[in-house]
Amino acid sequence: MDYIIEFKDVSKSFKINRNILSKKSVEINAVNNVSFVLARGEILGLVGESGSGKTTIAKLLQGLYMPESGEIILENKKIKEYSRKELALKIQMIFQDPYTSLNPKLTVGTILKECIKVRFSILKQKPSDNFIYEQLKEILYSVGLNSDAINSYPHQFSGGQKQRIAIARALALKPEIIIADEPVSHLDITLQSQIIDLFLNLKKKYNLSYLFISHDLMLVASISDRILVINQGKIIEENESKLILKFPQQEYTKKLINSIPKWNI
Amino acid sequence: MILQVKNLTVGYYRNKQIIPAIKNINLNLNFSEIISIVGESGSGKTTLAYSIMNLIMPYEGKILQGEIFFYKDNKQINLLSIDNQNMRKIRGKNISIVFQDPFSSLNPILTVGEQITETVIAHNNIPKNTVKEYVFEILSKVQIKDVERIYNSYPHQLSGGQRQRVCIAIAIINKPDILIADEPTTALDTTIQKEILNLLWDLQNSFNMSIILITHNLYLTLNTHKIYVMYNGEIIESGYIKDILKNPQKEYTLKLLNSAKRWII
Amino acid sequence: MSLIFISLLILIAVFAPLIVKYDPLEQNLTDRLLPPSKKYIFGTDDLGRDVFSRVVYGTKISLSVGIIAVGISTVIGIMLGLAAGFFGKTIDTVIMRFVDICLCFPTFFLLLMVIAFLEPNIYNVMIVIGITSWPSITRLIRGEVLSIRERDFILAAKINGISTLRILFVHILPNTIGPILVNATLGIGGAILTESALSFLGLGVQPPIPSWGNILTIGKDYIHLAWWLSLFPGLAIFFTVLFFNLLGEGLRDIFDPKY
Repeated sequence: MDYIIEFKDVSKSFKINRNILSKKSVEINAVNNVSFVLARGEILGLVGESGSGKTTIAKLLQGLYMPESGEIILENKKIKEYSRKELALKIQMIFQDPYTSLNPKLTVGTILKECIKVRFSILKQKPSDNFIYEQLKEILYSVGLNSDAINSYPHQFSGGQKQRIAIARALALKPEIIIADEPVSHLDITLQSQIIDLFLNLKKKYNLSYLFISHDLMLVASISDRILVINQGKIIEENESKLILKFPQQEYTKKLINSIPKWNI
Repeated sequence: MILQVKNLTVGYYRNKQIIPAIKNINLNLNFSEIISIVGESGSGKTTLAYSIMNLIMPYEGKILQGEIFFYKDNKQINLLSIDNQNMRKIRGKNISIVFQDPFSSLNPILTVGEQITETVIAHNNIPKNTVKEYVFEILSKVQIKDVERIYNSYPHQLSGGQRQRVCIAIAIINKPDILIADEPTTALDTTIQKEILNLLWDLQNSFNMSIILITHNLYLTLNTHKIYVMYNGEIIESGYIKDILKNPQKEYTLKLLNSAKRWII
Repeated sequence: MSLIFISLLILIAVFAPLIVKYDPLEQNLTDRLLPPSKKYIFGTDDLGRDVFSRVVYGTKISLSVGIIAVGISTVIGIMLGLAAGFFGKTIDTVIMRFVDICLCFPTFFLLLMVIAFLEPNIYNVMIVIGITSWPSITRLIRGEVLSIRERDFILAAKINGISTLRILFVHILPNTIGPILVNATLGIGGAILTESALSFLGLGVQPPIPSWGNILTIGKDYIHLAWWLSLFPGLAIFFTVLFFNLLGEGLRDIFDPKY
């Protein structure tokens, strides 16, 4: 199978000071000997509670942190051998809170054009303004927005629309992998399924692979091919979505499934 | 009947004009009943909650019409027309509220014990040394283990679930007649949603409280008696939960139902 | 409302030659020390010059010093503040220790010393005020940058492969504009006061070029005889600084609305 990402025995810890005055620091193992793979064209779900290490894994994958031990391999090359710009064309991220992930002082058009231009400059191409404009419109349409958005500011949009803009920004760099870190947690449930559908459509259209992170097992199961369950920095279970729901192996996984209220009509 | 909202219309100030946020709201709450108000962000649910508690600040907005009757000891009190002092007596003692974000509802520089004690002393004439026992009792009632440690902890030292339990403890310590829970689980992981909801139903049982549950997720309203569906500031549908689930009248209600269906395993 | 007054001031400064009847430098020794009258609205000074014309021309001096001095210190402050806040660690420590040292010097004495060595003229006054007021702006901007650089959209910009320079000037800087503008506006008032004080002491703008400060210098010698020489420039300074301060506060309310 064609693995686009491989995490091999990755560990990362942080030193946290007990309190402001003390010099004693506690070492927290955020990520502890984690190994997994992401196949090309796959949607891999990562489920865990707050503080389980999910976001640290996202940041390690995005090259924002360096692992203390182990290797992260992207397309047969170690992540640390990629420059920041090369990595930007391969992996992009969508953040949890749509209200803070967009620069409030820039118009949507500026935000997206900036990313489109960055991509061309990394590829050492000089497209015409017209071409850039066409790309801009195409990206907006593919996330369900129209060209009215170009001259508007983020605060003029609702939470769901803001998240679409954030997705458009990620797409502007035409990455192969998108990391979605709790992309719908801050949205009402009526919007959640819309955004999930959007993710699925975009995957087909642009041939993307996803790492989908959430604390909501049912949400992750509704979109992912495979699921990783993480608890306190360790991957404790891994299986196909359907199988993990029907036949959970670990206690923790069973606890996650049982925490969902049962629907008795 | 313990609470009756009649024809309530509340508006907020925007650019020197008053824009109505909720219109012609009619709602009944009986003794020991649990009702839910369901709607998306912006539908006016929180405005309704704040109006019942008379928490709409005079510089933010205004009650444009309507009455809110609270029935106690065979007396009928219009919450919108009593003076500030009397409202303060009712708020926190007879009607209490749990907010969405447990982190910002707690004072970061006071310990849990200090904050709960403050609420008790504000409404009762119990001598300070006996309050501690009482607080311990309430903390174990909200299913907190290791009560002594939590009593002496600061909010940032607790997990999200623990914080929300503390907020619930503060809200119920004076054995209110009515508890308003405004999106109590939205800021928490789905893994603890069920626990917090079950806690609320248990408390309702032991104290015979009436509860108003506010949420955007229809799925969480399973154990409630009656639902009020809010859209765009108005109540568009209301009824007993079984009827609404089998036979939703409005398209919007159907949309809410469909969004929640992924929890059906 | 402050905006209206200040726009008026700017207009006066720019169109000064058209407003005044008399050349502010023209001496009319027969009309010395005349009180305000229809002919000379603000009266005349000890050399027979029309005080009104001199005050009006003084507007140009005060405004230019105020704006340019604040401009200099703001530009320095932005450069250093962005660098200290964004890059942190060594660069931050070096810059902030330097700021701390500079803040230890009593500004006014520093100004006096520097001017004493340099030739007192308007350009030196601008530069000197500019380079003595940058430390506090630097600290202010650094604080803002520290809080903004942790926000998701900055992280997103890094992930998007946007160059550091662009992140600093297109993403971070515009989000700090609020406090910068407020600080700058209030700073203009302060700079005008400082310039007036320097000119009053004879260390700033030299006569015969009119500055509110140096009109006051003459005024202090004639305070019993010719009250108008002190009153009018004094009022000019007072109202200008007042309105710049009000403007600054007004801007602060717009950018940082608190209930």
